[in-house]
Amino acid sequence: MSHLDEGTLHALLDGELDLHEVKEIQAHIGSCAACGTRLREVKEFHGEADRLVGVLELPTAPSRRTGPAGPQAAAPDDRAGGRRPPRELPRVSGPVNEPPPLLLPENPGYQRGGLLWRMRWAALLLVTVGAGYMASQMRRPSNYAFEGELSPVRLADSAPGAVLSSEEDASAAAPVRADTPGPAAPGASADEAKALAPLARRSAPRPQSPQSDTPRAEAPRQRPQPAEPQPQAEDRALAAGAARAAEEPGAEEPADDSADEAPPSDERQADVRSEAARALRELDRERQSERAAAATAALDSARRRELLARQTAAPPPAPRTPEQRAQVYLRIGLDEAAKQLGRPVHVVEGLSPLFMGLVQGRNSPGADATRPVVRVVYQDSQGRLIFLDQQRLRPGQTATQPGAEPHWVVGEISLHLSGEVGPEILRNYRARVR
Amino acid sequence: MTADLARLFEEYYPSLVRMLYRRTGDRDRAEDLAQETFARAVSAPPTNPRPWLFAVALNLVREDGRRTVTRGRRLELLRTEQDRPAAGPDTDLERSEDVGRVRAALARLNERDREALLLKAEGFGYDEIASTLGLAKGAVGTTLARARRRLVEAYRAQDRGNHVAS
Repeated sequence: MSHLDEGTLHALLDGELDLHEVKEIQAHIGSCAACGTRLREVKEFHGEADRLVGVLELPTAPSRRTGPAGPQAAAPDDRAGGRRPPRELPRVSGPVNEPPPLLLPENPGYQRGGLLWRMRWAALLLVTVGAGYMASQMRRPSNYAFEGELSPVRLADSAPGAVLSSEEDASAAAPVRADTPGPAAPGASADEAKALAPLARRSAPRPQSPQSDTPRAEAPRQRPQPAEPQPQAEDRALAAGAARAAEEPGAEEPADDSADEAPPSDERQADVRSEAARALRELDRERQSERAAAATAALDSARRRELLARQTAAPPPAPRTPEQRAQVYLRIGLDEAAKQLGRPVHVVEGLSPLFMGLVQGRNSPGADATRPVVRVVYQDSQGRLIFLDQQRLRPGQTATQPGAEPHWVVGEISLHLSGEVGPEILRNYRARVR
Repeated sequence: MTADLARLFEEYYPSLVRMLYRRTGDRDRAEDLAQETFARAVSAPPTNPRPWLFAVALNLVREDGRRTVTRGRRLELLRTEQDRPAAGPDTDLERSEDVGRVRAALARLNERDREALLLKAEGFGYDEIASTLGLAKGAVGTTLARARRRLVEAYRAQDRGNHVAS
């Protein structure tokens, strides 16, 4: 036999040769030192090259496209050059495509703009009522009679004339604080009025809504009106006014309406504005709080999505290599295997070994767990691995574990056949072991 | 048919992406090419799927490579290498240097040798490599022998160059 070429030696190490070729080569190497040396050299290149290719593993980090930045992170030139965009097939490496979290609330009412609609309606209602009321006040006659539900402030400003004496009328016409109303009971003395005044200030109700304040703007133009049943607070305010009038003799005549009552009117307008502003602020606060709640809900939702994405995007386990599947911790060549066994390796006739290697004894049923086992690994047409385990028996070692079939002994070698196929197929292979 | 394709996808996609990544050095590109390969399998279902898929993928790499050169995509390739997360300054540096040297050594091989080597790394038998690359089965051993030797020699030559330089 001529010297072995490199290709044949690589085929030998790759387990690609038939049994008879292997035997021929073994025999030749046993007698040819040059080929033995070459085989060692080839083994070195073989192992080193496999290691180098193995260095180029897929990075574990997610690819740019599938990273958190989303599809925007993809290099634009990928698409600019006319390359077809990738089909939407699932990716196994790195996280799946996850759209960037969008901070949209999950509240459907918010999504439909319910809050905005409510705000618009509230503002529209406010403006309509206010404008309507003001228009109706503009059209009213100047001697408009106040209804009982009107604010006591108006009464304090403009109503007491008809029920009070001339002095009292004068005092009522004098500038009185709009927020200190309180008509006195008819016939009350100045002292009583004085005494009641602070109480009137405390008990005078504050207007609660812009609507109730709106009529105040018209108050200066109105003449004193006939008396009508008024709340007690109004009486007390009038009494207070009377008391002040009694202390200020120069103020017996009612002053000009426009001159005297303009400041209270401005104040009321300011009140209206402040109330309106307050109401708007409240609405604004409500809107902001709803927005915050919606944003919080959206944030929670985004976090949930992110968590879910993390769970689903956990990197899939790397596919197991044939070595891992075969539990081979060291790949060896044919000569090394033969050296381990002290005789040529048994093989399955008609199958080409994928590779050979050493496995720990405990991973081979029936073998001595303290020593390595030579495992010849085959792969069938469906990619399933078949393992032919071989171990040299120690002197005196005979019995094997029961139930570890198919398991048998040939000479000094204990053999065991296993794999990722069914027992029937294994029995067929068992008959072909040589 | 759909189930078959799904099974093929499940079975071969990781291996295909790994081989394409080793070939191109760009994970995104590898994934794109793998998906394109499967897209072609939809329109023309292969009878012998593994060699067919890898042959199509390698053809796509070659086509893509020609366009790549004219488009200056190497810049992006460099960026991909930089995008790797740091496992630790020293470890990462050593690893990236090693990857760079291996990649440079692999680039010195001719197309056929390189492809044979990458297919072997994916567990291809000689008959499958022959079928994928259109070689005679008897030539695969020689091709692999040459590829391995050249790869190792090119890698060692860089090491020697580094030592001389330092």
